[in-house]
Amino acid sequence: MLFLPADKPALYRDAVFYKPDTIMFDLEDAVAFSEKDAARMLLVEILKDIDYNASQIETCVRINGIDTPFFEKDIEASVSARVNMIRMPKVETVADVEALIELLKKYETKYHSTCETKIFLAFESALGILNAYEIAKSSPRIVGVALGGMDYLLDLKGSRLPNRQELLYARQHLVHVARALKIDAFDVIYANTNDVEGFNEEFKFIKGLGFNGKSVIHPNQINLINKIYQPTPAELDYALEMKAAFEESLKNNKGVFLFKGAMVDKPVVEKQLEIIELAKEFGMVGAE
Amino acid sequence: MKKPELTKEYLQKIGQLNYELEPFNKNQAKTSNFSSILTQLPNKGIVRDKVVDLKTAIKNSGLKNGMTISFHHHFRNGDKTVKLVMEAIKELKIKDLTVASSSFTDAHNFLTSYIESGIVTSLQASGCRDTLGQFVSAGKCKKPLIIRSHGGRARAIESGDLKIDVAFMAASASDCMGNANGMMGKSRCGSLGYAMVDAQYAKYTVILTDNLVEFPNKVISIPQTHVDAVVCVEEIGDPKGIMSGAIRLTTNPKEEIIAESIAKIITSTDLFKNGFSIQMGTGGASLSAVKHLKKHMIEKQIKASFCLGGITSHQVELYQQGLVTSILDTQCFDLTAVESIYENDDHHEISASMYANPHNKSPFVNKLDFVILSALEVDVDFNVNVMTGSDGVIRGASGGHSDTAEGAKVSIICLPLIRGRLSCVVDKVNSIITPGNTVDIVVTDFGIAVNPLRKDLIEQLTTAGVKLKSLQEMKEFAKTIVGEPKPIDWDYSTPVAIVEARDGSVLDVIYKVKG
Repeated sequence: MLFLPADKPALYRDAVFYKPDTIMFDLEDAVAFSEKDAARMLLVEILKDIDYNASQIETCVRINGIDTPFFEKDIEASVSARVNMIRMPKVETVADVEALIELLKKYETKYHSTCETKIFLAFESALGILNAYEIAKSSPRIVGVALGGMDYLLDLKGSRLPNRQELLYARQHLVHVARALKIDAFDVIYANTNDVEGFNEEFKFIKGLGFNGKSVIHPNQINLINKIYQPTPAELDYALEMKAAFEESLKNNKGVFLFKGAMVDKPVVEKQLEIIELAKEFGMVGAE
Repeated sequence: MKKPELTKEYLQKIGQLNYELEPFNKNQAKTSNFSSILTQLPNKGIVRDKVVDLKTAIKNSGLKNGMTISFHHHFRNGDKTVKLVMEAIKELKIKDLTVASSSFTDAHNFLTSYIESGIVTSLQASGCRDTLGQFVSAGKCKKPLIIRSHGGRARAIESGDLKIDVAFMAASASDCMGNANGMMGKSRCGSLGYAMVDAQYAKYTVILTDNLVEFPNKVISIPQTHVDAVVCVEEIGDPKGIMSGAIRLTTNPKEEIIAESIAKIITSTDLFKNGFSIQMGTGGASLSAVKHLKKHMIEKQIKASFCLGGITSHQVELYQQGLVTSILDTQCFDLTAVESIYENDDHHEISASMYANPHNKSPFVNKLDFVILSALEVDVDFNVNVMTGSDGVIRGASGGHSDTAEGAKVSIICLPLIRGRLSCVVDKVNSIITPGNTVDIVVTDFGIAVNPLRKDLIEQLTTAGVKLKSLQEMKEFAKTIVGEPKPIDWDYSTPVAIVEARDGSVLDVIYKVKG
């Protein structure tokens, strides 16, 4: 999910080349108070011209929080621009999401939307993290949860620790929420865009915790993520061989089969099938 | 008015040159029809010291109204020599001169006032930028600017198409007889690749130096046998100005995408093996590509035989790390390269003629496996423009672009698909500098396109899993984002520049932009 300040026209144009899964047009923290209206108008106008979905890129808008005067205007603009998803910041209660959904419905009717706008929730406070499960299961529109690192840290009255240990509880909690509800879990941004090593280290760690995505603030970070996610040719070969062996075993009506000297059953195969699917996304194998 | 057809008759009318202009024919290379054996060999008697002051050198050279003088541009934006010489010429009241420099940089903007006052009436160069470029594009120069590639310029000098009456060559170290180099002294610029050709073929050659050394000079790039006079001046140029203009490093994400694609292309071809050779351009993406390529070279234990062309710290680094055996240097692009050419035995200085003259027996560009080149725009027929901006104004340089594109086994052009609010892949480029039949691959941040003429490359890259797109596809995609620009309103009655192919035929004519 690539953050893109919504008041910068050239970035709208360039973002398509970086092939992020999702572009998140930011109307919140990246835009100055005096520029909020202009950014909102720019968003609506540019999305009339550029069809990101045609390039297999999902669109999202980070709106301003419910406690700001921009909340409803941002929602209206997002719906009229037909973005796929809204990222709601600083969510703390189910009521916050209900208020959002009510406005979404209002403007989806007004703009004759043919599909429901999805919701991505950002938790940035202790209360939000503690309520995350109840909040995230409150609507089928909710497709993912994310952690907002800076605000969360301020709310905790903590300080930044090596390897961001202060985020550990929140990270693990949100991964549990996401896995329980079978939705996406996105980690915090990595602010030092020049620190490739640090980014890679953090990303490998959060991937290990179970996150399946990270919010990025520089296009070069997308490549770094892809490099870690992309299966190696050896991993792909192994997965393809196991898939072939699995298909062969099915012909013989076997649930468990011997593969390279080890007994293998369905969950093991499923993991390898995921690798093949991922390889398809990276163009390593042709789609069937 | 329609763009005029480039017939022989039309070109002759606008060229006003001492030789016949012929239109470019991609199926037939033009051959120089002049023997390079000098028709007059001077006998200067016994000369034991050539040091004179600038005005005396000019007077002794016999420089008169209507003649041609030349300079090199090794100092790029740091050049101080051209101004010094032109001021002296102005004081001597000599007019109607053709200034044939290897290129013009921002340091030469002052020439506009010399053109306005009639001291200069014609320009010939590889490049022209900034306010001088705008001035020429506005049709304010009496005769059209002749644009030649580096190899094309060397060819023109040797064939007599470009007859230099007096060459003024800056050198950071010279002895009293004119044995000169650019590697020693306070104003070092490194290789004197362009100057070597001028010094050899000009009727009269003046070395300008701010560092007169003991005879004989330790390093002789230009020998005394080609030099008539040596002039000592306070400062010939500022070495810091060398690394300017087109050369920059980048972490620009779009250029990073392009750089990774370039590395992928190179490593996917069967030419990527021990002993391969390469020339990198000076654009951000092509410099970044070196970083990726280096990783592959180390991983696969592949060593290159030589790097060619304009040299930067990147090639020097490859050499220092043992990843390339030799550097063949026609122009140093930064101070690391300047240091290296003096210190490293395998870092060789070569002349522009050795580098890329298509009419010598074998220029080095013909030994190249890969060349990576930047561009301003490319058209769907693979023609490349590196000279005129989207507004039609002259603001670039041909350099070694067409020379290396033709000579190298694989020529790779890299550019972003969109710049500003314009697509860089277009139906027809504003001006053709490198013809499409010599361009093999175009890389943008949106994808890679291979010239259909290179079926071998298409097969190799496809087999290696590199996904290819067509230029048409790229152009159409860009259109969905930025739409189609308004065409430039050219004034076809006012040609402002003639673009010569490296063989001397005419590739294109650049016209004045209306308004």
